[in-house]
Amino acid sequence: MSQFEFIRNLQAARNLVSPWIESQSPVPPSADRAETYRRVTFWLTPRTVKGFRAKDFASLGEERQRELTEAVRAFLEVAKKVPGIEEPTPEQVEAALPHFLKILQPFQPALTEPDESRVIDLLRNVPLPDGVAGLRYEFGYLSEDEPLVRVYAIIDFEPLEDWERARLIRDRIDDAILTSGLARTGYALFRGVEEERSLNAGVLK
Amino acid sequence: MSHHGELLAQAWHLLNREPKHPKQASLRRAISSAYYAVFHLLLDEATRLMIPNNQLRPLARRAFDHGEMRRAADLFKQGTLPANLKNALGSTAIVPADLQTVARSFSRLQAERQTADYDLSVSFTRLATHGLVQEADNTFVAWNRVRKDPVAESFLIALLLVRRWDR
Repeated sequence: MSQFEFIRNLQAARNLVSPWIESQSPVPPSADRAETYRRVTFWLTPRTVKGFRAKDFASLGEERQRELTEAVRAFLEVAKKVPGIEEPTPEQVEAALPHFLKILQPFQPALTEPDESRVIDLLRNVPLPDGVAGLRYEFGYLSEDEPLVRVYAIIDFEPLEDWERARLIRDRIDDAILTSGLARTGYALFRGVEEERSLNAGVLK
Repeated sequence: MSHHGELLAQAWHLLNREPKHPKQASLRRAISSAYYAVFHLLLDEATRLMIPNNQLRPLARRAFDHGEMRRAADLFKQGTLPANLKNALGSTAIVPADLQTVARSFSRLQAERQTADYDLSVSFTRLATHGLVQEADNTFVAWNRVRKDPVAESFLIALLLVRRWDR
């Protein structure tokens, strides 16, 4: 349970920089991941490593297990100093980032879902009408045995003004996931182009 | 106004409360209200269908379980009827498009309600929330169109009994 919780918390932190599928507009894809972590700093919280117990990771081997434990300790040392309701300082981000990246490293296979490439292929092939600047997806869980993919359609219009088009976009993404045979629940949500920019800039919290 | 109607109105109110810079708390509560609007709409309809005695209906409402209801919605949203219902309703029975809309909406709203209420690592935007509240609104309309269809009635019963049918 604890190991699951730890991986899930790491995944939540990684999802803050969810992948960009396609772009038909000038919204920039996320640049270098570390660079994005500098701008979007939700990950800098003790919650990111909540559930960590060194003994759960004996399979990594003694040396990597020790490195991981040390990285978690050093990360926590910084994270605990960030007041919950305030932004971390640039110095705190720089102090914590190397440890955070080191923590993520051994779990990349676990954080990369086995069906991720299928999800990407699937989303690339959804026929979408004009008005969709791109898609982002993020993985999560509805419960421990119910994996989820949440797909954001980044749209450049107000859904209220053209709900039929919005619904068509949503339904096509929903249909693609539903009929794909993926062993996960999935569905579409909307996000505005400006909202996407704000999120990328770490403005929208 | 009905309880579910009030919840839907509250979802719109919370969505539009801070039009320029919506607070996360308002968006999260809007999503939660949108989900509960649909949840209570379906509970109301299901208990009216199954419990003639209106004194007993409030007790029956407590027998419904969110997880089981989503399981039923997940079955119907795919558009094909479970075998046992196909046998009962006839091989030509299909899931009407409006009912698929209701089932999909219920699944999505429930999942997002869970995220909105418990997962602070996810940021909600106005457009995402708008999409969900609009979806709840459309669900009311779709449900009104389809509610007398025998397959819709079987959906209401499935919301309560789906797990037992699997035995």
